[in-house]
Amino acid sequence: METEIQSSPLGQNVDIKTLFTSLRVTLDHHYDRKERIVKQSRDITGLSKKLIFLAHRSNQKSLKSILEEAETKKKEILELFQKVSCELEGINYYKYHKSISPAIQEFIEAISFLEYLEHNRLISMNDVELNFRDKSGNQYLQVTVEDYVLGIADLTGELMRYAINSVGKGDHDRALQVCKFLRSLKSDYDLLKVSGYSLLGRKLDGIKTNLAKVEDACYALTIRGSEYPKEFYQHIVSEHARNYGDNMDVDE
Amino acid sequence: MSVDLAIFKQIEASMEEESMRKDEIYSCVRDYEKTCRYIMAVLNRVHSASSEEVPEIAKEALGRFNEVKQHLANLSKIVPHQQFYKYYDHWCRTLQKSLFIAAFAIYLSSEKLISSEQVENLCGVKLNLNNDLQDFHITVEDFLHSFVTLTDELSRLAVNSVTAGDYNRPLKISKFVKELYTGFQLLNLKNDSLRKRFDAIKYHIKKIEEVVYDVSLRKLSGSTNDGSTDDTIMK
Repeated sequence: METEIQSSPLGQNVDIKTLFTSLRVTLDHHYDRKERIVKQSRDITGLSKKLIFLAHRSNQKSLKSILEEAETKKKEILELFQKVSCELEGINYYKYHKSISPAIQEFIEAISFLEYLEHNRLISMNDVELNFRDKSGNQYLQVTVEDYVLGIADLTGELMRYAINSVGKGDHDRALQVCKFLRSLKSDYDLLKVSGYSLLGRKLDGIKTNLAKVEDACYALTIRGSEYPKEFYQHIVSEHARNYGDNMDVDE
Repeated sequence: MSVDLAIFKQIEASMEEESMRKDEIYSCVRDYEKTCRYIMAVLNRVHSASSEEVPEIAKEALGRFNEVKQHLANLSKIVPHQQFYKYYDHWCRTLQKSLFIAAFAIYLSSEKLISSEQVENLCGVKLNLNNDLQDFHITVEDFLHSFVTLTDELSRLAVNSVTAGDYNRPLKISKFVKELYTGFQLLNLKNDSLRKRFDAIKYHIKKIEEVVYDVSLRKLSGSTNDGSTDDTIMK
């Protein structure tokens, strides 16, 4: 060992400047790449958030027109994913995973919400991965179990909002359906061993509160809904809402 | 309608597999850590050694790097292809420590900065100089972190070598650490951990400068035979 070191010619004559200059090139490459990925990731997250807002409008517009619009938005996002995927090849996937992971999670949140609106079911991990395939069927981006689990955990927040909106619209059946779905989702999450996944641990609490909110709303409409026929109840609510809106106008 | 349990079964299995792999890595890193402590214990003797004893101590420390090589070989077997960075955080501190130990020992024996070839020879692992390695490697950041630790340790040695009666060493350390600092200034660092640690080097330099000042003020360093002592140590 010792002789090896002494016989190494460069070991006797290391030029600090040369070494650091070459290290600078390596580091710059790394920093630049990371910056490009972070930028793309931010763009994708923004577009995915818009997609989620669009899905929430399903209370106002027909589901069909929304799904059509969502499809074009989805294509746009996937184009960005495909563009960034070349930066994440091979060993670089995990090297920069922290930078791209928020975008992947947000996208999963959006498409799982759409999947629920369209088919009333949970999107499988396999179906999520199918999105990241190019025309010839090559998988250009992988999805980790962690991304999937965290993305779906965020879905519960959207479903909570959706269920409360449905209550507001008087669509009680829809709210009860979401409640049932969230319940089964939570019981599945309870099966996972969470230790070590601290981020997931925090999200689990979120799932719990989201479910509780929906359950409370369902309780309220069940108990009050029993006092009047459904249509009558809706009428009271919307009348009251209109009056409230009028008052607001007067105030202004 | 209910959520497909099979999806979660599959997820559970993959999480289980991963936590088992992590346990394996932990136990590997624990042994690796132990080796680092032993080698460091050897090197710690230089702080109270006379200058003639130093090369011998460095040699002994470098001789134990076969164990480091073995630990790294074990680790590289656990990590699946292309998943290096998934688990990197588990061993990077220990790896950086062992790189520092290597750099310190090389400095003590040659008064030069460790070269990338020397690192690769000592650890049996490639250094990722061109961002192109797909399997287990040493990152450029690991390498640079070890240099920062080296400047810290050398500032300590500068103080202690005076106590041990070697008045020339602080001057040589001062020159070396300043060169290293100039090297760092060539980098375009971002606001990360390396940047923070780089900022600390100037305090190490300050500490060394104070020793140099004390020694030169009292004319303790043999400025006339400085060149000749350098020569004997270089050989």
